[in-house]
Amino acid sequence: MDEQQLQKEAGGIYQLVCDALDKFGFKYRKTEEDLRVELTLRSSDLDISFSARVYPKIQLVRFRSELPFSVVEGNEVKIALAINLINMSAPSGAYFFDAKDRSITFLVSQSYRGSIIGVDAFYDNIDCCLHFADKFNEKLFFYDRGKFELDEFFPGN
Amino acid sequence: MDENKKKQAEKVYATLVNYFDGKGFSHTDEPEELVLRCTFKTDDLPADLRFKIIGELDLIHLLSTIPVQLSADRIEEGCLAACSASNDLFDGNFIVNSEDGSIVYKLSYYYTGSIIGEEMIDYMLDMGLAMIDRYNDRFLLLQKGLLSAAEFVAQDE
Repeated sequence: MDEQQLQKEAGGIYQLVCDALDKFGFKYRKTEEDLRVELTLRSSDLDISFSARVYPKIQLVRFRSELPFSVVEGNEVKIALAINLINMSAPSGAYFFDAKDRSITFLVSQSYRGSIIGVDAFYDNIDCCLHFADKFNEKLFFYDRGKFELDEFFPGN
Repeated sequence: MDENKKKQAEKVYATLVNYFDGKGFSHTDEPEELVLRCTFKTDDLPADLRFKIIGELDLIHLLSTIPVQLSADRIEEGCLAACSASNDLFDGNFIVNSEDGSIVYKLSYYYTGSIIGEEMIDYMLDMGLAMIDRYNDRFLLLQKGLLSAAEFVAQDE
């Protein structure tokens, strides 16, 4: 595919991502020139900064939610252990911990290479982000702050 | 699993098997589990990959095994290195199993209401092999104590 075709294809994918967000009833900000959407989801515990972006050249969509806290200095190993433990349980998506800036992000990606991807697949990607945010964001925060132990992430295991 | 999901999962599995047969790549199939395993020769160690179609979740899932086993005293450093390496990737992530010291690269996509093409499978296979090729030496050096997690991605700088 040439660049023009890739860009056109990406535009169609971007619309499907927006359609999937509409299915959730979310309000979001569009940056069409970057094929990006952003929104803040307010929940009862931690607010979630969420974005999705289409990458035309690699035919990939990345859905990303950022946790609204920095890991306490000195907790890098304990957070890395928790991240790996949670990611073992995740059939799709993963938490990413950057020890340099001590940030944690949840990312799930969707390739559309040589495929016809329906809006429901993008809905599932978004749902995956929300599911993990709901299940683990607050736990990660309290674990980092010393109020939660590693074995409490999966009680009963 | 409902009948529609089962049929869709079987279709994706058939695409996967057809791709491997079309390329002449040898593979071992577990059709009841919708699993396909393959081994490729790389520059040094063989690369074991496992594709699975997770019908309940509408996911095509790849685990690419890094042929290095971490000992108990290297798990923490391994988890930090997995986080570091994952942050360096645009797609997929590494996971260290802190119980047995195994390391995998994981890549997965939803296929809900979609038609998956062989190009996507080709991309997944390329990524799975490239990650083993790029990182197995580093994990081996880490296991031997000759590389730290902090130095793990500095190799690319």
